[in-house]
Amino acid sequence: MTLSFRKSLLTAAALAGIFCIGAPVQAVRAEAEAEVVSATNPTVLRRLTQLQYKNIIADIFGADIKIGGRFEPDMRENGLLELGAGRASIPAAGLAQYANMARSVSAQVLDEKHRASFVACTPANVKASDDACARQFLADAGQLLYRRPLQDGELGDLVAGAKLSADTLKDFYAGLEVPLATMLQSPEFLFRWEVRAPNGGNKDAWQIDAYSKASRLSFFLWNSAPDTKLLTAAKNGDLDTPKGVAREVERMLGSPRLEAGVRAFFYDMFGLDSLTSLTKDTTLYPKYSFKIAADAEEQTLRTIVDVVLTQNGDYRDIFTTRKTFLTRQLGTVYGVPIVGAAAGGTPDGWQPYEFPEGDSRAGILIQPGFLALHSHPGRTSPTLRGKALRESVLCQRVPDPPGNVNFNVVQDTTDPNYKTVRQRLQAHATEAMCTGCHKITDPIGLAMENYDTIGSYRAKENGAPIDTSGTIDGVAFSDAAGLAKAIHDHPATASCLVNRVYSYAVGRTPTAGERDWLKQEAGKAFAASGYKIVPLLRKITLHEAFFRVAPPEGVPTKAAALSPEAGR
Amino acid sequence: MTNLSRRAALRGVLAGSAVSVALPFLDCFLNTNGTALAATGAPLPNRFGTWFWGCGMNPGFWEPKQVGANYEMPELLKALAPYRKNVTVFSGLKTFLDGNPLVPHSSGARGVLIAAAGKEPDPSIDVLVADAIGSTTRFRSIEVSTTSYASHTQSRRSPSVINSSETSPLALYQRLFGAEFQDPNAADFTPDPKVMVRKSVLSAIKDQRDRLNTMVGAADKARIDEYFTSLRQIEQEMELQLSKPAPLDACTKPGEPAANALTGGTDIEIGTATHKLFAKLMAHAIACDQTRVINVSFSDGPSSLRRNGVATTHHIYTHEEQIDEKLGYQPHAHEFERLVIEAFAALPEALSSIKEGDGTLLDRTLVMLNSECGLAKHHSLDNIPVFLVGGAGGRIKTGYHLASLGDPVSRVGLTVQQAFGMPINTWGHGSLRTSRPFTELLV
Amino acid sequence: MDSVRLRSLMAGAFAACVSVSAFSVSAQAADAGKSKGFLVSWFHVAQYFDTQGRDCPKGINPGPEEYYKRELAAIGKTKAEIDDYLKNFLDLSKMSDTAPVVQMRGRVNGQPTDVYAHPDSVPDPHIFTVEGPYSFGFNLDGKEDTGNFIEPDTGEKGIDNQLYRVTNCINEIRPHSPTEYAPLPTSYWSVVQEVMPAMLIEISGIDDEQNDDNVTVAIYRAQERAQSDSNGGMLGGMSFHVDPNPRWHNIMRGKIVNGVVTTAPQNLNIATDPFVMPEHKFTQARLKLNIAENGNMKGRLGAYHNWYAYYWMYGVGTWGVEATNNIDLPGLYYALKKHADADPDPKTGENTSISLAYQIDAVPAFIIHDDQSTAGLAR
Repeated sequence: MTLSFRKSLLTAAALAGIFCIGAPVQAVRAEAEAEVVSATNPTVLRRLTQLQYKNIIADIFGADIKIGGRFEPDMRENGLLELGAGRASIPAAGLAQYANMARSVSAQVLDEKHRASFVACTPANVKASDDACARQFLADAGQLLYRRPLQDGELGDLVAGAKLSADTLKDFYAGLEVPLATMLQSPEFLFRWEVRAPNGGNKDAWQIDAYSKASRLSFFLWNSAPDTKLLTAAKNGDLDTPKGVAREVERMLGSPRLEAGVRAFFYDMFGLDSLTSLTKDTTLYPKYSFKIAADAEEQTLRTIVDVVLTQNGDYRDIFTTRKTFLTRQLGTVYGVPIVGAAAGGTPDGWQPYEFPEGDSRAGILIQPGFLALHSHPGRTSPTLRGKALRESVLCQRVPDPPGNVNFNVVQDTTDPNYKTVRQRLQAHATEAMCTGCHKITDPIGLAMENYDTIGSYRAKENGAPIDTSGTIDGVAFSDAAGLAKAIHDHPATASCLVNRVYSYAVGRTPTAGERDWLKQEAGKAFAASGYKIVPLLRKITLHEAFFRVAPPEGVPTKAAALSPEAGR
Repeated sequence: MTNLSRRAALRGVLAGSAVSVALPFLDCFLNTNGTALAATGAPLPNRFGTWFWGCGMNPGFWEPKQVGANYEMPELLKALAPYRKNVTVFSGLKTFLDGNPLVPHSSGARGVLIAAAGKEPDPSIDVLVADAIGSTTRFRSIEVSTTSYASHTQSRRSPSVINSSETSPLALYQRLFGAEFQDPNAADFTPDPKVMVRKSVLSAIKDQRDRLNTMVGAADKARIDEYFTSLRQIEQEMELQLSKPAPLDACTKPGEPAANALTGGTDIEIGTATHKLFAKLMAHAIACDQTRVINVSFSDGPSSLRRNGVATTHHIYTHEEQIDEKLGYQPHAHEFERLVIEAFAALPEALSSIKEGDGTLLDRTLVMLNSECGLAKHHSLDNIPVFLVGGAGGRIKTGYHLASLGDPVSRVGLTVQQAFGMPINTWGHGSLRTSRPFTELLV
Repeated sequence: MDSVRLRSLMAGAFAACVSVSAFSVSAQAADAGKSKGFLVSWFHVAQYFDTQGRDCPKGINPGPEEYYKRELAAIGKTKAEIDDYLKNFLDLSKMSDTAPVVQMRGRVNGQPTDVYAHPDSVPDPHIFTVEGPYSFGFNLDGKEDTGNFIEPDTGEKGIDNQLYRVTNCINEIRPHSPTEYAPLPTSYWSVVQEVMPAMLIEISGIDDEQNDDNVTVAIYRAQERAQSDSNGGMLGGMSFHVDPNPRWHNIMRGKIVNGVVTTAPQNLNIATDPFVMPEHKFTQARLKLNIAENGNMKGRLGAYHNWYAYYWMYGVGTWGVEATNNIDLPGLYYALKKHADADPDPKTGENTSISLAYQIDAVPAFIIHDDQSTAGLAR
C-alpha cells in the first residue's frame, strides 16, 4: 500500500517536471504533497546533529571541554537537517570518530583539573575501584547523557566496567573514563530515542513517554538535552499532564537558552550550514574570505534573533527589516563604514547598523548569507537565488533541470551580445524545455541582480544597466526591496514557517491530519498573534497531539489515526 | 558507506572544490577502504614524517601548471617524478603574523608546523601526530639533522621542550638497532590493558541491541543494524590490537654504518649523503615498528647550506644574488632548491624499497615536506611550498596539485591530523585558525 | 558613487561627533564637499629603475667578501686569518665569534671601536653612488642645480633626490626590474604592514574631482592594522578609526589640477616601525597623488629628512645587515653625509638633511574620526 503510493507520487513528480514547460504554476507544488501521507504518527529516531552534540557536552561538562574530530556530515532532507537526522545512520568510519571524541571528552572530564566538579564522591583508594562512588557518578552522568534514568542492568554493567578498568589500570579515575566513553559512543546517546507509552487510561491515545517528551521539548526549544529540572518533571509525571507540560514550556520559553534553540532552527531552515564550505573565485572577488562567510552566517542569525526574540516582532519582518549587524570585514562587502567597531564599539566587533528607508538592502534575503550562498563562485545565479527563495522561504519545490541542457549562453559572462544575466537567461530560456521552470525562479532571482556573487552592490553589469523589476505570483515589484516586501506579504511565507517549525520539532513532515491542524488552527493563531515566534512555539508544544504517536505494532486500536479534532 | 552518506559526501566534494578542481577527485572516490590488512591479517600502522628545509622556493618553478590529478612535474620537483602519484603539491598557501613581529626564517615555519602566528606555546604537528599514533612504539618519534647541528630541528612539545636532532647516522643506528633492540619477529607480546578494558566495557552496548530493536520500526531497524555492524568493526580492530601481532615480515636489521661514516655538514653534498644514510635507517626503523614518526631537518630556516669550497650560503644567495633577467630567478639560489628536492628523493626511495603487505612502506607513510617562506629574498610569507609525499594507508588521496590564493597554510596540518584519525576539527591560532581541511583529499 | 551608498551614509546612524570619510559625502561640518579615504598599501623610497643601466656606471657595490677583506686587512689581519674569516663568517651558528671581529674594526685613538655606533671610526670606503641623469622626485628648492636629476616620466629638471643617489647602487636597495620594488624595502614594508597600525590618507573638501583649488589632504595613523584580501593584496573598503594622538595628524592644504592632487610644502610626522624607522620627520614635504578609475591611488611624496636617520635605518641591523644585505654600513654613512643637501648646521655648515622621494600606493578605505569615544586613548 505504502509502496504503491510512493511510486505514484514519483510518477507525479516526473510529470510535474514535464508540465513545467508550459504551465509554471503546476510545477510549484506544495512540498508536503510529495510526502507519504501516513495514517499514523511514527516515532522518529534522530541522530544528534553536530551542533547538538557540542551543546550537550558543553551543557553537561562545561564549555572548556574541547571537542575535536570529524563529525559525520549532517544530512538535509525536505529542506531541513533535522529531517535528515531522522534518516542518518553511523557507518564504521563515523563510529570510529565518535569513539575518538568519546575518549577525548572522558579523559578531559576526569582529568585532575575537572574531576572534582563532576565526581561528587571521593574514592576510598584512588588506585583501585570503588563501586559506590562509580555508581553515583555514572548514574548522574548517564541520566543526562541518555536523557533518562539508567536502568538497573545498564548501570550495573557500567559500574562493573568501571571496576574492571580501575582495577586493571590501577587508577579509579582512569577506570571511570572507560564506561563514560562507552556511554558517549552508545546509540542511546548518539540517537534521540522515542519510546511509546499509553496515555494514562486511554488505550487508544498513545504518546511518547515522559522522558521522550522532555527530549523533544528540549531539543526543539534549546537544541540540547533536557536539563535536570526537565528530567525531574518527567520523572514526577508532570509531563503527562497538560498543566505540567505548560509549566515546563513556559520555563523553557522564558530561559535565555531559547535563543540557542531559535538560532538552531533558522540556521537549519535557511541552510546556513552550507556557508562553512562556500568558496568563491577570489581572483575576481578578493574581498571574499572564510571570515566573511562566518560573519555572514552570524549576521543573518543576529538579524533574525533581533526581530523575532529581542524585539518580539513579526516573523515576516526578517525579510524587510532595515536593521542588521555588521563587522568591519562585512563592511567591505557592503561598502559602508563601520563606526566604533574598534574603539568604543562592542568587544566582539559587531555593530548594529540601520539602512535608510527605501534602501534595497532590506531583510535577510539581501544579505551575503543568502546572496552569496546561492550564487556560483564567479557569478550570480538568479535561478539558484529564485529556487532557494521558493524552497526555503515559501516551502515550494522547484524541479531540478532536465539533463542535456546547453548552458553555454548562461555561463559566458564575457559575450558582448548578452551583458546582463537577464539577457543571458532570456537567450537560454528560449529553449522550450527550460522556459517553464525558469519562469518560476528567474523573475525573483533577477530582482537581486544589484548584488554580485559575494553580495556587494552593483548598479551595472558589464556596463549595462540592471533591470530588477518583475512579479512574484502576481505581485509586481521594481527592485529587491520590493521583492522583499512581496515575500513579507506572501501567504506562503507564514504557512511555510509554521510547517517548518513543526517538522523541525517532530523530526518528520506533518501527516495529513497534522497539516490540516497546522493550517486551520496553528496558522490562524500565528496570524492572530501578529506572526510572533514565541506564541507559535507555545501553541505547537502545548497542543495535546504534539506528543501523539501511533500504538506499537500489534496493539489493537479503534482510532489510530490522528483526526484533526482528536487533539483539541 | 551507505548510498545516502556517499551522496552527501559527494555533494561536499563538489561544493568544496568547485573553483580550482573539478572532477578528477571523483575518479578514485570509491576507494574508501582505509583498513587494508597485510597478508597476515594484522593491521598495518600508518606513519608520519616531516621534512624541513629553509629559504623556500622560487615562485613559478615549483607549482605545477595544472591543478588536480595527473599534473606535470614542475622544474624544481623533477627528482620526485618517479613518485608523482604519491606527491600532493599545495601552492598559494600563506601564513600570517596577526600583528606579531616577523621573525625572518622562523615565523613561517611556525605557521606551517604549529599554526601559530605569534608566540603561542603549542606543540608542532609531528608531536601532535606522535601522541596519537606513536605511543605504542619504542620511540615516539625520531629527529635527524643532516647539517651536523643538533639544534636544527622544527619539532617541539613546547617552546622550552625542543626535540633536538640526531646528527650521526652511526649514533642513530646504535640507538635503534643496538643492544636494546628487540626483534619484533621474536619478541614477547603484552596486550595493552587500556584496549582490553575498553573492549570489555563496550560489550555493554551490544547487550542493548535486542531491546533497542523493539523500540523502532523497520526502517529504523536497518539504521540500528548499521550502527551495530560498525560497532562490530571497531571491536574487531580492538581484537587485532589485543592479539599477538604477526611477525613483521618487512622488518630486517640494516647494516651498521661504518665507524667513519658521515656526520652531516652544511656542504650540501655531505648533507645529501648523510641524508641517504639516515633515510635507510629510518625506513628500517619504521618497518620494525620502532617508531611511527620521523622528522628531518635538511637545513635551518636561514639555510646555511653551501657548496663545497664556497662561503656563500643558500641563505645569502637568496638575499644578495641578482635575478637573472632571462631565467627569471637567482641562478645559485635556484640550484640549491633543486638540490634540496633531489636530496629529499632518497627518503621515498628508501621507503618504497621495503615491501610491506601488498605495498611498500611509502604507501603507509605520509611525509609533510615544507619550507618556511615562499620567495626567501623577501622573507615572503606567501606561497609557502608544502608537499605531502607518500600515503597514509589509503586514508588520504595523493598525487594532486591543490592551488589556492592565500588560504592559511594550517589547512594542510589539519588535513594531516584528520587523515590520521585524530579527533581535531579546528587547528591553529588567529588567522591561521582553520576548520577547513582539504576534504577533497580525505577518504 | 552609487546612490545606495550615499543614502546609507546619510542614514544618521552615527553620533554627532563622528565623521566618516569614504568615497562619498563627508559629514564633517568644517569641510563641505566630498571626501575620499585611502589605506596606504606601499610607502617606501621611490627608486627609479634605469632600463639602460646609466645609473651606476661603475657597477653595483660589492658584497661582504670584498669589503670585509679590505677592512680586515686594514686592521692588520693576515691573509690566512682573512681567508679563514671569509670562509666561515656566513655560518650564522658561529656568529657570536665572527660578528665582533668586524664590528670592532673601528679605531679611535688606536682602541677597537664599535664601527656601527661610530661609523666614522674607519676611513670612507667611497661606495659607488648614482651618476645617471634620471630620478623620480620633486624639485624641492625650485632651483635647477648641477647635482639635480631629470624626472624620467615628465622630463622636469631640477629634481632633488640625493637619497636615491646614495642608495641606488646598493644591490638590496635598488629595484631589480622596472615592475618590482627593491628587495630590502619590500621586506621592510611587508613587516610594517603586518605589524603596525595602518597608514591612512584622506582627501576632503572636494567640490570638483578634476579641478579644485582648495582641498585638504591628511595623513593619519589608524588604530587598526591593515588586513590582506584573499589575493594577498590589501583589503580595500575597510573602516579605520583615526588614532586620536595629534602627533600623527598631518593636515595639508592642497589643490586638484586635471585630476592630480598636490599639496603645499609642510612638515610631516609619520610613524612606521621600530624595525624600519620609528618615526619619519619629513620637512618641506609635498604630495602628488593620482586617483585611478578603479578607486586606487598612486602617488609620491617629496621632502627632506635628517640623513642620519637613514644611516640608522640600516645601521640598527649592525653586522646582520652588513653581512647579509651587501650594505657597507660606514660606506653608506659617508655617502649620506657627503650628499646631504639641505639644512646646514649653523656651526659646522654641514648639511643635516637629504632630499628624497617616497612612492605611495593606496586602496580605498573608510576613515572614521571619533574624537569623543577615543579621547581616552590619547597618548
